Amino acid sequence: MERLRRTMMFLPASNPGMLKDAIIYGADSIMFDLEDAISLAEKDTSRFLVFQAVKTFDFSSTETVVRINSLDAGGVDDVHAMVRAGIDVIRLPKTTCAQDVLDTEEVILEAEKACGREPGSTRMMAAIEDPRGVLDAVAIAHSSKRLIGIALGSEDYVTAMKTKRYADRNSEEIFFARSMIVHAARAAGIAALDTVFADVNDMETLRKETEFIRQLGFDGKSVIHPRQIAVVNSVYTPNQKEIDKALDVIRAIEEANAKGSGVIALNGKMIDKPIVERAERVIALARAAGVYTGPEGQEG
Amino acid sequence: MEYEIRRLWIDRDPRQKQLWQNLLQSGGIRPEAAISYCAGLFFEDRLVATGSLYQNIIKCVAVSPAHQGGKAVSILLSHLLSTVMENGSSSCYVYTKPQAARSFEELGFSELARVDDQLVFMERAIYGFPQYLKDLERQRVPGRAAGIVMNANPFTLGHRYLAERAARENETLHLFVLSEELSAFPAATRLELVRRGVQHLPNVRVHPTGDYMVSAKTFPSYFLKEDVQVAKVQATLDAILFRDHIAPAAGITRRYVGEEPLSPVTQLYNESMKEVFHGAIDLVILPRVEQGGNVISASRVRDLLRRGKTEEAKELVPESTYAYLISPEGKALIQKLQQEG
Amino acid sequence: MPLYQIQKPAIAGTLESSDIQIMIDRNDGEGIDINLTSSVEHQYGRQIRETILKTLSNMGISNAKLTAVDKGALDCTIIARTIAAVHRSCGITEHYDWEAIDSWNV
Repeated sequence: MERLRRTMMFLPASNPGMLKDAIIYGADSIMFDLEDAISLAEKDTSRFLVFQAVKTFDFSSTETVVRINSLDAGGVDDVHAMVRAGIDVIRLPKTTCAQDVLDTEEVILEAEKACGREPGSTRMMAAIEDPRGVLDAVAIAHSSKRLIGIALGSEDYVTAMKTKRYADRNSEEIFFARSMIVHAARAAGIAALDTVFADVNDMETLRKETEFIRQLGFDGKSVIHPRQIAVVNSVYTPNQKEIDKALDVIRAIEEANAKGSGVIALNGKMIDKPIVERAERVIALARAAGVYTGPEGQEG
Repeated sequence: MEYEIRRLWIDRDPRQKQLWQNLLQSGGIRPEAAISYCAGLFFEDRLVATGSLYQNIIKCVAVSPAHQGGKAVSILLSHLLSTVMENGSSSCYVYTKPQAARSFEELGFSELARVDDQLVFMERAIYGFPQYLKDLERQRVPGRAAGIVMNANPFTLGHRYLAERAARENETLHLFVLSEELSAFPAATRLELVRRGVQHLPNVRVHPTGDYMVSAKTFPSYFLKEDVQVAKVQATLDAILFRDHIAPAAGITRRYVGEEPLSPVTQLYNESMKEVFHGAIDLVILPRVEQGGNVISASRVRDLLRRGKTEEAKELVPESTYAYLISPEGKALIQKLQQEG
Repeated sequence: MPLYQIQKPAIAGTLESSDIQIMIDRNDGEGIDINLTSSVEHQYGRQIRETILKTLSNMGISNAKLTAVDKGALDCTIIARTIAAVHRSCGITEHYDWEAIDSWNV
């Protein structure tokens, strides 16, 4: 089972108070931002801070991600520090082509060797933030085995498109980009993550937007404030009917496995792989949301 | 969503300036002209706090009521302190109302002096006043010591006369030269010309004032009540710093000043000193030296230089100062003076 | 010559809650001198000083003058801010020695 990535919370790496409290809000992933949220004057101090935080804190099962700067603007030091500190995922900003991923991968490998970390154990994520990256999304998504997902960064993207965000008009301006990214991610078998929603006071529109990206097939959404987490998670929480259906499927699989039967059928219908995967995902989402605690469909 | 620091271009953007003034005025603070950097703290795109710098002095801090007592002020002050350090200074100062002193203390500032219920002068530094006083103590010599504070812009025969008198009447003379960069002659040059000008007096020690004496130009008055005589408060603060810290460190018991009957500001200054010293330090006021029927003063020298009459200025300054004036460096400085008018 | 040489005044950290702001400068031949302001000075003053001292000693620094204003920082934050201030004071802005930094545990 792949891990859930309903919510990836952005945290400015410059703020020790926020780093300290990072995991208490219950996001699936936390992303320490060394890039846009950090002024030029605080790049160095923020890097030291996240380095110590990642080394010291117990993030439990929460996935740790760091958004690095571009390689020619401090990114090399970012990678060396974070790989050594033991970060789970390095997130590339402003990925325009597959080569960007490969260039960073090279530095990551170098860093892994330097600190004795298993080569390949540092995963990557690519944020696509401009039209070139959107049009090259398929190549980017397939560029490295390390990639666990691609994400849309819409602020830079809409600027490059000579438009702006219209969250109040169904965000049609980023519909194409979202579709490209979710297709590329699915084609490559990796996660698709949606862009942030900037207005932390508008929970209603956030909910609508999240429902929409869930409908498109995204795994989850980036969030910038703790109170956005509950909204996004709740949209991704399956309802009782979905859970019951999934449980039926899982029970059928378990019974078939116990009998050593190769064919799984339920209510006279064949259960094929996509149905199994969906059922497992529904149960995992229900379990993460705390609405299902039963024994079925547990890992392993 | 979160607080955001942005630079305010109050000298270039009338709209930003208006926002800034409104915030200050709602906090009972008058906008000041002497500002080299102004920062704004925004919350949800609204200006909720501001603070400014003049060199390494923090000024015009105001926080809107809804954001007081929270993290707004620490974000703002952190930013201003970092900016001061980035500009190459390792110390930072603030003049504030006594009610605000405590919150500055919590941010690492220490009180240097206070004028009654009107103002507190505070410092945040790695070295700083304690170190300055320690250095001064090392130069302490047994016997009666006198002190003179001068800007020496540039050092004239008038200054020399004052120094000679004080040196003759005391075992030691501590001569303080203002370090502030607000004069036609740079601080380093003024200090050097004083050193050369008193070289013939073996018992004179020359010191820079560092950050511990302010001129009227940089003294912030924005938080004082409208009816307060700003010059008086400033003079009193200077006199208290001298009486309580500088004089004891150097063992000074007498302060010499030049008489200036025509300048009300200087007279006020001398009066304030008399009040503050009150028996702790003797104030010796000496009449000014004249030349050609007029009092010798640095401003008279600068006036001559401005009008291209360096030769005439020769009569008003010691040889060492004159040698500087006709050196390539001095000539360049005079040229600059003339261009500025 | 030691790797880290305190050269100029430098600052790292903020005055915000959970942080510590450290200013550092030379203190030639005078040892380490820390002036600490903390709201939790009573309970944690000694520990904060020790964390700073140990980090400086890990970096091979034996002379430095510091002022620290603590707002309830955790050890890892104190270490990060001390290391950052020293690097700034030494004028190091890239190609950090992460292997060494990784070894400076307190």
